[in-house]
Amino acid sequence: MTYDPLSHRPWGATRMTPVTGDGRPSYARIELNPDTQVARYFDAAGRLIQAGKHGTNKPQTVSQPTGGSKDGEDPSNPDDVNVTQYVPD
Amino acid sequence: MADRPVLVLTCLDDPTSDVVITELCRRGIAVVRLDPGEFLAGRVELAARFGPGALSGRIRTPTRVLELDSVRSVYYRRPSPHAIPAGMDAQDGRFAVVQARYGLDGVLADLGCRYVNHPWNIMRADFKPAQLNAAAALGFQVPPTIVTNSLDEARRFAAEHGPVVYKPLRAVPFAVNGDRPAMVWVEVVEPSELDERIALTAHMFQARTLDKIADVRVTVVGERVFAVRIDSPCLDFRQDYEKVAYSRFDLPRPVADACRGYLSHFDLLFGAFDFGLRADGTLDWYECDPAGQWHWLEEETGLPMTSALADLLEGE
Repeated sequence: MTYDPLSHRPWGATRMTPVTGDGRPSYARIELNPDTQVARYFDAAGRLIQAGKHGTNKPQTVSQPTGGSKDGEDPSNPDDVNVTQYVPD
Repeated sequence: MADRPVLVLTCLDDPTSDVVITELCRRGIAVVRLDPGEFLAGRVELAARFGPGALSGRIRTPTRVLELDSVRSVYYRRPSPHAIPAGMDAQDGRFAVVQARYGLDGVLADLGCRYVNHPWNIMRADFKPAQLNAAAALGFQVPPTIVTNSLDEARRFAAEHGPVVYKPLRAVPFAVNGDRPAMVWVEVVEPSELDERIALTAHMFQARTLDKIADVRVTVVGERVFAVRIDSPCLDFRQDYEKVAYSRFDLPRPVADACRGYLSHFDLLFGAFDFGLRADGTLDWYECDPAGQWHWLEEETGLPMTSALADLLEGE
């Protein structure tokens, strides 16, 4: 009998579908404004992106290079993933 | 004290926190923004003192100093997880992460103030079985649901309650085709699609809402209830936001009261509830996300959720 890797995938994982877009952020860099404690977003040319014109606050999954998760507290999770998990409720 | 700050625990890329912080600043309330995920990167300094009397000490972020005995309230949004710093051995890294979680996060969870929401309560309310049990006990119309790793049981459930949909018990970061982010849309599952790979882990199936005409999202902030009807041609509206229409929804009072009761059960001050609206006007319970998104609904409908949240964090 030959080994079939497909038979070792949880059924639910096989239902995964790519989200629209490439999931990459629309900004090149973020920094915290020390005075306001609000984030400032910059594009690849170093220009400030207007508030509300970057990213999304809709429920969907977005991967990002820098962390951020719904539950930085989960004690059962090794937490060494560096993928943002935007609440896909 | 007028200068007691609100502590906002979140990652850098969080437009929702930006909106809330801006509103708090407009009200003249001090804010300290902290991402606990920066702790192991060496950008956050912790010194918490215990002994006779109350907790004292401080946390220094790259831009602010937080006196631990002065926190007005905590807005727990989307803190980054503790990550093993580059160059640290994996076993040492796991040690560091666990010490950070029980040390820094432990301090942050015991500041003796209002939490929106408390992280431990979020965690408890994040389990679908707990959600379904609480919802049923509170009188919500809960669709028949099964959590199983048995193919036979899943098939029997589908035969009894079909058409059924599959919903993961918890969202998980996932990529397909290399690095494309992926998720599971709510879709009808044909019985012929079920196979023995069900046995590899827990799966949740739910009877599809018959005569469903729309989704209803109910955001509860403290005692205030904001209901929005979401119309979409997709069974799962998240699939295409371009095709979604939003309108304010007149939520029946017993449902609003049950939502408040639900939050009370889990000791939460915020919750994002999802319902399916049937043609007869009744609502099928789907879930409550204790850390769900909400600000885009304020933009779509004008419902004053930011203000309600700022009221909670400001306190009376």
